Amino acid sequence: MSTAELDAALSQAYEAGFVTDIETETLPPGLDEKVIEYISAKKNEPDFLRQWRLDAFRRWQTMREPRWAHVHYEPIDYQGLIYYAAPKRRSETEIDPKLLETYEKLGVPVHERAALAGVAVDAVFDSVSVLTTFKDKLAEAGVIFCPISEAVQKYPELVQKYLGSVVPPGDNFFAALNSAVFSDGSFVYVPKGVRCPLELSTYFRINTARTGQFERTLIIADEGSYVSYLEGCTAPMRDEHQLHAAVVELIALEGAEIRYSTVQNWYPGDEEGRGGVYNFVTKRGLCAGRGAKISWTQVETGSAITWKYPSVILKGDDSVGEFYSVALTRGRQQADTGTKMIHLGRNTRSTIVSKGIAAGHSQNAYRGLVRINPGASGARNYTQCDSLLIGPHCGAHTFPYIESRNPRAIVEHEASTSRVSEEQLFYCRQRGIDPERAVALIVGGFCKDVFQKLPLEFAVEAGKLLEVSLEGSVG
Amino acid sequence: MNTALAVCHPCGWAEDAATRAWHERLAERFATLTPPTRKNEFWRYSRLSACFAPERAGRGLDCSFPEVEPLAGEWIRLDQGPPVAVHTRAWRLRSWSELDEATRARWRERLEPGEDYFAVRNLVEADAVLLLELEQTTDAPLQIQYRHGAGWVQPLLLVEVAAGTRGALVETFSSFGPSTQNGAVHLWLGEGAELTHGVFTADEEQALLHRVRARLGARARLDVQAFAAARGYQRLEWDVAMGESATLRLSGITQGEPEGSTDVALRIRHAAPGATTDVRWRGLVPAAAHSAVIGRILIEPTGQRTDAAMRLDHLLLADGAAADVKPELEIYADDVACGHGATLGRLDDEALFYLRSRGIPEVEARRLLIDAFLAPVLQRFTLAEVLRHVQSRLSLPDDAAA
Repeated sequence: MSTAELDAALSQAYEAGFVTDIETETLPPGLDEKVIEYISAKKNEPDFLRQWRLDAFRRWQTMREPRWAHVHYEPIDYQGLIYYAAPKRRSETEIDPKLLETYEKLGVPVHERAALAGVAVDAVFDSVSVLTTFKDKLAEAGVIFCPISEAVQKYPELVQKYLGSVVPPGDNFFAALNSAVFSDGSFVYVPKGVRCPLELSTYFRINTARTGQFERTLIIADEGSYVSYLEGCTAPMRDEHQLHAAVVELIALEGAEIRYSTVQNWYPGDEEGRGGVYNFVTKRGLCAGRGAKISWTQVETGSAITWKYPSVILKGDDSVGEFYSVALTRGRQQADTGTKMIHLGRNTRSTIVSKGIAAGHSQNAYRGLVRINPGASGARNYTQCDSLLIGPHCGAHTFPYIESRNPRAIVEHEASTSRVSEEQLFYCRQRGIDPERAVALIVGGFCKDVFQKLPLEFAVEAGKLLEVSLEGSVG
Repeated sequence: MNTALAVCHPCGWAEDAATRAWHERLAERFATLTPPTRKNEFWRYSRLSACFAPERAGRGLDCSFPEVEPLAGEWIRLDQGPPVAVHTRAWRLRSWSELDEATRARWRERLEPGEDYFAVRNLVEADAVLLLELEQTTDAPLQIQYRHGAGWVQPLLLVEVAAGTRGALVETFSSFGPSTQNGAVHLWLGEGAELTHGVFTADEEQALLHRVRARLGARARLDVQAFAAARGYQRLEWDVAMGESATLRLSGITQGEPEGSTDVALRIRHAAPGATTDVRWRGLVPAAAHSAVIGRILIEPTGQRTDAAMRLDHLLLADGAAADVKPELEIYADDVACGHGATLGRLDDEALFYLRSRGIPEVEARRLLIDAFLAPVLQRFTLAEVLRHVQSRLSLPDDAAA
């Protein structure tokens, strides 16, 4: 197969690229303290949160946009973005059928009849959460799962205690911006000893043009509890870039476990690099208590630029952090993604498995930090990051940072970069497997370690997504 | 062979018009540069303050050095920059003032200053600019002994190995007073040339920055054998550009010393096809010592069929030891096989138990395990001079037995 054919095969249509024609309430573009006051007032927030936002905004104004990542983009006009867009509600209880249609079309189970799917969904449309399913069933188990704007009203003490405790407002440029203008997102609290009966899921959708999405997710797993959370995202095809600067904070107390899975399929832009989402996200988890566990699994196939490092701070002794990632870039996509594992407690363990696949003219970088602090005796880390190159015009890069301050810790890192080999393809073709299927098989095998870590529904979706993206990619 | 053939005292750049104009441009560039900070990825783990300590400031200072026995074989000794003794027949040594204009022009072109503060400063303020040329294969290694003892000392050595020839260079460093040596060696290997390059920095108490820039012609081969032990601050830097089907084998050991910080930075660029890089660096880090290794292998779109491997391992021997490692791959070509591996850890308890259960005392058992850890690098040290020095210096750090 020639390079041209290969490129053509790689430019698969983006199926989630439609626009929902819906009446929306939007603020004019621009950002100042009035916008923040407006968002805060709109959500009827308590004073502590309004002040928190304003403080974050003032800090953001003193910060400079970071430029160290291995990604290139035109400067973002922050005053040209819309910071609040929400579909108009017909009434307090009724949801616009067009919205439901949108989610149906995207295959998101927003009707509770979809109970078989076993997933409770929070659907976030532009700046607001439009519906959350199975709240009652979850409430029976004592699990709180609701939009964060609702949690601010109903559980202000929990929000005040944990918001910004893992990602402080001044953590970085985009986290500060998010802290100032975040509009919605999910809030989860799992009480002591409770195993959450359903998979929880949030589906993010950017619809309105020129809108930035700044959701904030806060998940707290109290002692001995367990929760699995899934996140999906899409956006319409537009010629201009859209900014998505989310913050996700996870807190796992003693003996608790949080599994956080992402299938990210934001609009990646067209073949020439026009349009697409800038996915600049701060995700961090804190294993606060002994024996806590946080596991990040991500499948990143969308976005013009993906720039994020889901991290774990292993503070509690014997706590565990995991990061499993597949990042596929094609066309003109760029990714600089990886993780940070900060070992503070004794006998903490972390595992990193990262698989990067670069095709077309894309650039795919893994960047990861493993830090062993002086108190982390007996800590262990194992990192494996592999890259696969498909075609001669793409790039695959690895930037690991390994820092140890404790002689009783062990850190192991290995990385490899290769291409889909002629031998592997030949082997498959000899057995009557066509080239496209053969590539899918080889890449599927390459990513197997990560897919195994995804919840079943997501594993199927992720596998399909990858297959579609890779159809006919090697010849 | 051990007869003094020539003694010369060149002093930096000669004042010909073309060099002066070139030097002025460099000086202008230097005026715009500031020392790197930790925000610069290649200086992320550096403890640079030692280089700028007031007692090490000043340039062109005099310093007296102890009389020492002549070295065996071929050697050159440079005190505070310029050479004071030269004993070599195989290599041709000339100072900048002795070069003809064509040679000067060629080297001015080759000396890309870049944006690095220390590299540009070395070019601008070079105390001695020396050209070493090898035109016939020799098996005897040439030892270059640098001695520094006061203020900033900035030797600049240009080395040209003619096509098809083979030779060996060993650089050693010693300090005798508060000083910062900011030295550079530019290696130019012709087609099919082979150079074995030893860099040996034991006993270094002061600040030392030593930069090796190497350009490898087609099918050239550079075999680096390095040993670094710092009681002060030390940075060894390699910047290598690979020619077609060239080979780089870079082997190194860091032996950390209490209160010392050793910083190794490698930049290897594959812009031509079919080249091979094999890096293996191992470090021992005792209490209060710091060791960092940053390695970047860059493969340009034209660097197809590259085979590159980088292995960086450290043993932390006691509390208070610190190690930072950053092995990077930046790849823009698809037909390549690249990999890197890194470990940071301690001596294996089980192995230690195994040895002790067979009656081997703990100190001895640890010694054996450390030897085993270093063996894969030591095996690649073919320069007898380096190997002998290294083995005599590799003593068990006191606190390692604790």
